Amino acid sequence: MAVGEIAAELPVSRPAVSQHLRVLREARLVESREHGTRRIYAVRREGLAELRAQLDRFWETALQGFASAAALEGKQMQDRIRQSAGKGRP
Amino acid sequence: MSTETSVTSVEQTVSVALAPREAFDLFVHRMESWWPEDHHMLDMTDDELDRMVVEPEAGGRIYDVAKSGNECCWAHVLAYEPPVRFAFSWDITPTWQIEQDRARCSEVNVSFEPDGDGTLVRLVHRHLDRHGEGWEGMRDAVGSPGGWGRGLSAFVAAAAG
Repeated sequence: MAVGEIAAELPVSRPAVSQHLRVLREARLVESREHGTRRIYAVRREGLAELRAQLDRFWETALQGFASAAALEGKQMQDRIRQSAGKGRP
Repeated sequence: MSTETSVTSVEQTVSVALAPREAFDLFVHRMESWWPEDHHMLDMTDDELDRMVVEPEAGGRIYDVAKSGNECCWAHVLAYEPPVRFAFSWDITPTWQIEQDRARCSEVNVSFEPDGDGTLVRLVHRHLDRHGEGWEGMRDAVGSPGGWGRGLSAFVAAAAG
């Protein structure tokens, strides 16, 4: 996308958008190329790797939470079995 | 717990000391008891999560319900096969917004295999490249009010890292 196209969608000025894009380019989150007199910006495809890393961290955390909940549930189940077994005794 | 990744998928496995049916029920029907609290799509400004609901059939919705009654649907059931398999679409963009276009959603497949007295839960989040298009549609991420702020804070963190 050209700067003008991006700016048209945003409530900030075109120079401000250019400045943001410069920061993003330096952070290697977008890349740009010359197209005639215009500079076209695109998000780097490597972003996919970042998405994957983000989801990898997310699922690791989530499954740890699942394992903890499972451990708690297993313990409660054993307690219930022990209690009901206890009730049968004189 | 183990981690494995391919180009367009993420895989995690975990072993739990519950029978497959119990592990399945915990995973699917008591999701709020283990889902990371800070990763809900529901707007929790002045609100709290009440529960997470999975409609138990293929095509069913998966949604968060707030104490206020507000709902937020963030996934759809692709396979409901207790106690061996549960699969759902991931209707969430890379910037954690709801994806309306089902063609741009990835898939999460969860299998429950007997493992001694317990269960091996294997989760594969695949077709992540479907969201890849989302990374190019940056306009969507930055075009909404506050989009720049949200986006930039992530960029700043990435730049600092």
